[in-house]
Amino acid sequence: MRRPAALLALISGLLLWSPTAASAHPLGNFTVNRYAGIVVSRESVLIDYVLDLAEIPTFQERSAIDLDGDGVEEAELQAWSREKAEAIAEGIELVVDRRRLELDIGGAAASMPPGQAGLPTLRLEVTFSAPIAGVRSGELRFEDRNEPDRLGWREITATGTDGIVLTSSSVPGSSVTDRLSSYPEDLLSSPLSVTMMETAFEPGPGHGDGGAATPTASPPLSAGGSLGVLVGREGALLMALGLLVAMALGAWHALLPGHGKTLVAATIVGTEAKVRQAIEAGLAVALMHTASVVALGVSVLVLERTFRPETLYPWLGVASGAVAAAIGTHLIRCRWRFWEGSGHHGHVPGSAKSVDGHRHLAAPADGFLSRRGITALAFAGGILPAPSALIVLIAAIESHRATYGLALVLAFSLGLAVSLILVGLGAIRVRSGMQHRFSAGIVRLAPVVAAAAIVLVGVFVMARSLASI
Amino acid sequence: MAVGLVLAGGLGLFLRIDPEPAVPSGRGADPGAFLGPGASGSLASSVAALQQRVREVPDDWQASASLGLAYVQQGRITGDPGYYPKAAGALRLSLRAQPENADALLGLAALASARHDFDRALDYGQRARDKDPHDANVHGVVGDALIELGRYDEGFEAFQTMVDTRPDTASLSRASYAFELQGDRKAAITAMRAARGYAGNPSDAAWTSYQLGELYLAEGRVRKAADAFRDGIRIDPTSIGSLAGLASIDLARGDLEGAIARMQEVVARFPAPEYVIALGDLHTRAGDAEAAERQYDLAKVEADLFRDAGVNVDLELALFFADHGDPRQALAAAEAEWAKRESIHVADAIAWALHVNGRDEEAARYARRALSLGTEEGLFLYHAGMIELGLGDREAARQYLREALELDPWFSILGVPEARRALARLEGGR
Repeated sequence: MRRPAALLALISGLLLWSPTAASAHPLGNFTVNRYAGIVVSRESVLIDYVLDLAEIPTFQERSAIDLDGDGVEEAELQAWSREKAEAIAEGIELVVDRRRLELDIGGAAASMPPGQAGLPTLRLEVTFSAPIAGVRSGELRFEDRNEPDRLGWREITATGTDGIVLTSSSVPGSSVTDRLSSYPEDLLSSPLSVTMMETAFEPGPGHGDGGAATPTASPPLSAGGSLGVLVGREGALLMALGLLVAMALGAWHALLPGHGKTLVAATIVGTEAKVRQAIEAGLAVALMHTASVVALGVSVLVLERTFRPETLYPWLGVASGAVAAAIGTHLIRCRWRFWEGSGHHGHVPGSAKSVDGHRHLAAPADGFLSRRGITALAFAGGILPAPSALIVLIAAIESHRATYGLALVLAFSLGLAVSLILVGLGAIRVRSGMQHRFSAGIVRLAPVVAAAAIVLVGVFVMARSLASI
Repeated sequence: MAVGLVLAGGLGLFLRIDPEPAVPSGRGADPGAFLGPGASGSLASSVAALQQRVREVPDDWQASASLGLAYVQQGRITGDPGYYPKAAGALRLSLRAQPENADALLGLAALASARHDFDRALDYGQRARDKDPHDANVHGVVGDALIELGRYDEGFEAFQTMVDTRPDTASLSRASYAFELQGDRKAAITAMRAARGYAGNPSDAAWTSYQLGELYLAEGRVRKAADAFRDGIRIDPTSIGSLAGLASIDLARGDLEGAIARMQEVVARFPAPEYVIALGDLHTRAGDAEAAERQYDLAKVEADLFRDAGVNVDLELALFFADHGDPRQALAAAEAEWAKRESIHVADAIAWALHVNGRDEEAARYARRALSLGTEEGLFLYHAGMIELGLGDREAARQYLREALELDPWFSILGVPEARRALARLEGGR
């Protein structure tokens, strides 16, 4: 078996080596060509799959089709289509929100168009489907693992329909070969070789649930779920209602685990801040959050597909965690100096007048929470935008309702601020309550414990973000 | 012989000298960038960059010539002939922008060789050489065409010039082939190892490993051959030649089933005629005539397709038909090829075709011609032996067959057991 290969190879040495030669078919008689057209709707993911075999692979497949050896009959062809479709389905990985979906075979039809030298070719068209009812937004990944080594054109397209839009698809929406029916013979293009794609999808603008804002299937705020619905609302009353709902959602959002409130509360306790500072801190966080959402939203829109916010999230998380840890460390250090220096408060902002008449607990008038401290707190608490708020803004801008989108985000952030301020005020109440009920030692320790908690939260957020990078 | 000595001298010189190219490969858009050392990055990305360049500046004749040559190269690597029309288009574009430019002529020569049109390859190659005699590659394409046309002395001379101009993977592997043709396999192995040392990208490195594997296998050094094939696959997992080589290793070690499984994988990935026929032959050896027939049918279909596309495959077909029951077609194909070029491979094909048609007297003349360079090619020796046997010269037959099995113990799937049987009969009957 050595000779023919070696001979042909050596004919031309390295400069060129072709075991075969030119052919009339633009992609060669050897090719196995595949196309997958992915369509995401609210109910399901449909895959329009085409397998186009050139003359030689068709001949290789013949014995699998013509089982009785008396020529290919229609019934045999259809039976083969079915079998082949099942085999193809095995080699396809369709993952929506990290869950691999089973593919149903909707229809499979094969035909044998004539090819070169009086030989047939083989074309199989299959429709696969996978239900995704209830998952109206998320991530989708598709990979075709069928016969990776065969020569051929491999193309994938993806579109959304029925009110679903794809936000970051890695493949185009339309086929350059018209579903493998006309291959471009352009001198300056190489055969496509795309075997996988990724995209995020979500309900498109103006395609909410139709009537009233009744988020049924998706839980509140799961990646733009109910908040996204708000963008589509029209009319002054509905808009006002929308703003109110956004504010409520923001307030609710702040109370969900891991959203800055621990940070704010602990900081208030740790710095012995006052009401004014608690309000400032809450507003600052809200402002920061709005700015962050807007900045991220604009970069997503300007940079289009090259930029994916998901990739930025973990880094924002790291930054947020680092700042929180720094705040906590700083507070512990200040507290330490305050005790040690007893009156020597060069490093501590404010003076050492007593607070609430408790001399031994005396702290600076403004507590330990300086303007800079508030800024840092806002940064730590607000830099990580709520994904839902981000999506709302993008959707609003894309549907030319940017102002309303901005207003919604602002309302959302305001709600967030209100929640945080309430948390801060609550913390002040608890602190002063403690001062009356507990021993001086515990009261003295509380700010230190709180500062330590801030450090811990920061480290935790950092670790979690790093783990997801 | 003189040429052989010159070649050996020149090569020896370069093998001792530092691995520095005698003539640096100059320009950035040099098509040689795709051929020899210094080619960095993947071919696909080079192609993409060149496509972009030609799209923006269609008049850049150097870019379009490089693109054309890169397409030929891609056709070589992937085995997809769909690249050749594109290559032709890009090269013609280059010639329109700059008539008779050496880069485009070189590309056209390479393309003609890929299509087995060696007369035309020689013509283009010589025109390229006239324009730019300092480019090593022009000597390569000229030498390739001359060798295929059976003009060996001139071909070796061209290879010598190529090695002198620039010792690299492209030139040293050609030197290796020159040694092999002249029956010096040790030198062929040395040259191919040097060629591998110069390989500047994975596909070249994998290709030279595969060639080394074939040479070692011919030497009967099965273990070294297996290592080389495995190296080839490790460097470039798409290296189909090395995978087929491993099937030969299985067979050499007596594992016929393993060889069949491996060759089935090869054919499933890339059903080139030589692999399809090899799989058929393996099935034949296993006694599965039906499975073998399926592969032979596929080979015939492929032959039809090539002919339909105007590709000349007479040489390959002659041997196939001679071995698979169609003596008349075999002879017709071989004679048609002999009218075009008188190489030792065509001489062997016509000898064997005459033999299966019962014309051993004429066959013997061609068989001697096939062995005239002293090539240690088991298939040629086996054919010569069977022809002598047909003529009744048992002593000559015994000598040829013995040489075939000694010098090239795994020369063919069906030929080796056939040769062993014939030799056993001859020696037993003495």
